[in-house]
Amino acid sequence: MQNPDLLADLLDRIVDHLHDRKGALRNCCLVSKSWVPRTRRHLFAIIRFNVEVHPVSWREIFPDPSTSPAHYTKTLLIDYSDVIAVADIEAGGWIRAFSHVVHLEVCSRRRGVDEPEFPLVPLLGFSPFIKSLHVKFVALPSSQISDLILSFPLLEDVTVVNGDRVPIDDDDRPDGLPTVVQSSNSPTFTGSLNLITTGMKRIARPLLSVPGGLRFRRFTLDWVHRNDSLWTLALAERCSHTLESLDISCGAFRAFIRHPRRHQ
Amino acid sequence: MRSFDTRVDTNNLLLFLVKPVAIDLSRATKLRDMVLRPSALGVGWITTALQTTILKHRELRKILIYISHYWTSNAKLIKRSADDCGQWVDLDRLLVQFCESRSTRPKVVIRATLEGEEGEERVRSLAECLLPELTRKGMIDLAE
Repeated sequence: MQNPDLLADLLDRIVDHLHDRKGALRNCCLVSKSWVPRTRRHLFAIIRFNVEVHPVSWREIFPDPSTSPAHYTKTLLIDYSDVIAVADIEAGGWIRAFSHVVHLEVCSRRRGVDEPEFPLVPLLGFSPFIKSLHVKFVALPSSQISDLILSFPLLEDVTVVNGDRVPIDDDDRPDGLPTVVQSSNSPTFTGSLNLITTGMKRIARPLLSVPGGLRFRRFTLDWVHRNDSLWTLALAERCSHTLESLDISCGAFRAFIRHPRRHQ
Repeated sequence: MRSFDTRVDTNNLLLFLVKPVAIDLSRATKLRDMVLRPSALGVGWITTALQTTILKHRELRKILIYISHYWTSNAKLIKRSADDCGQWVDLDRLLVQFCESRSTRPKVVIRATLEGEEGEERVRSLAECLLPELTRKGMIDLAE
């Protein structure tokens, strides 16, 4: 058999051309060890964990974090469940191996009493390169989400869809907004902010106090409670000098419609 | 025949109608496009927000008024609230003024989520009902 080694540039072009063909990429891995790194870059670029593709299985297949292909992953999608949270404790922090992730999506489709109290804690700051964060929960205290947001220093785009299970009270008004302190180590927040959530205060207040200020260029804000609207207003005004696109709505109508039923 | 059974919490509704939220966009001078989504609470807050953009915002090129299927499914409710509050009249007048005050007319689009094949016609009817002056002057585009 001929030596499968090719010029690096040529090999890269061939493998990159196959980036969306998983079967072909797997075959490339079998050609030569020299083909493996470039191939893994595409094979493991996007990883989705859920009940079927479980972190425990990942840990069993790649027990050594130093040789794990996790560091090729740029997009990590976690369909969260208590199983995955427990797995993180058992596996000694499997998530830390994914240290080059740029785009993170975390969601939980259910509101369960068995959901861990702090499901996002294992994810805090696990990758310093994250630029885009998408969090979708049914009912999670918004303070936990804001902690996650602020743990990524290069974050540009933020999407939060959540129904905060903490009751809203009169203290949720944005009186006495925090003063911005300039700093070079804060998230950049130069992309888009999409907030569809109740308990806006617990997301907005930490954002408004972030060192370096907010420079979002695109907003999608949907409020339900009147006090949420005031925080929406505060966010929009704080970014007004950079804002290019605004999608704003009062979602209250949905809150007012109770138990819609369709009759034949 | 399908119909929706809806219950409206009038206490909260009144809270919004009595004291609309005021969004000041006067400093957002880089704003290029806006999507505004009316709700059953009226469109007073949209008019208020737009009023703060009229004078300075030369970059503003597109205003999309997006009407959700809640509204299109409850046309009578929309019309009644529009008539009662006069808020749509104010918005219609403001958008006409907005378009006529510029050499390059910004694009105003009304979009609605609808069911059925007659979607475009229904959007047109909706536009004529809610924003009659703007529609009559041909200053509005329809989108589905």
